[in-house]
Amino acid sequence: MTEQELLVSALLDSETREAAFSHLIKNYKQRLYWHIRRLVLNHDDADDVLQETFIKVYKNIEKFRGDSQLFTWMYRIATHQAIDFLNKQAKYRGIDDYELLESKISHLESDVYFDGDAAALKLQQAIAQLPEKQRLIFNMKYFDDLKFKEIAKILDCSEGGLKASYHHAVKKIKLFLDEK
Amino acid sequence: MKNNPLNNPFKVPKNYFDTVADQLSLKIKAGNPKDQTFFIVPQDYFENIEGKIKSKLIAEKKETKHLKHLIQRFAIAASFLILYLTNPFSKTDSDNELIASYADELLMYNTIDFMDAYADENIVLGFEENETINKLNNVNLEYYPDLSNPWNYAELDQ
Repeated sequence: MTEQELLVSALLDSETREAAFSHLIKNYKQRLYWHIRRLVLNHDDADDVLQETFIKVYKNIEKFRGDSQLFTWMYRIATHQAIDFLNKQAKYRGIDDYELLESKISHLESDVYFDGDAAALKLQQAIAQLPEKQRLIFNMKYFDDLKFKEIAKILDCSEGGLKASYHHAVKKIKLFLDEK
Repeated sequence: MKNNPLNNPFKVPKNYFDTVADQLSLKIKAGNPKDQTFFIVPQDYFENIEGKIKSKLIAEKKETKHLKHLIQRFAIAASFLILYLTNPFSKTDSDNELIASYADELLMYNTIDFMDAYADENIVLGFEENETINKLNNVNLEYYPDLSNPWNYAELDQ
């Protein structure tokens, strides 16, 4: 049995579930947090989404089919949770997702958990103006250093399409940074 | 080459070495060198997150259990009402009125509790709220069995 299979079977067993869940949180909390944080930008929102992600993983572990890595599956859940969170926020405020991100970025300057300079803010603005999928792909490739193969499994699309999307994303960001 | 501070021509800002350790620890917590220039995490966040997740999980389990009990009470009240309405053994109008008012009250209070619990969007029920409420709304509490119909009692009295 592989380490992943052992972990999954421990999560499915009621006697070992709690200990396995602790192990899961310990090993994956940081990676998932940073992925979520880059999408929602704000620490408090990232905290909420991260907690919901782990709870969803705990409640749905029996649905994990094993056709991908456990982390890939969790990453996918985290991505959907973050996107849902942003969509709900935008809907609640009666604005679209681009306007929401613009609003969040404008608050970053005064955010105590943001230590970036003007260049960092400009980069966040550049990323925010990308379509949702390109934004996800850019974050996963540039910041998380995931391979295209892994990103393809998370987003359920072809590697070729991903590479093209990433190329376009980088081009748009460069254009944005050069113009502003 | 020995480190000789007396010959060191370089200067640093005042209190630089007092703060650099703090800055490094914060940036280490950022996780990825590309993020180090901007995102910061509160101190001890990653040490405490497991406890927060587990507390939230326990709280959700308790809420689900509470909701199940409410649904059971609601189902009992509804069953009681339906049983009363189809019960041919009720003898007098005043008995019927007493039972009807009791069932009505029980149903009303359970509906309020049920609706309050269901208002929490974190709870997933797995059945259609509207369907259940609509069925109960369609129950006519003003209708009583036709007690003047002799066939209901004549055989029982024998």
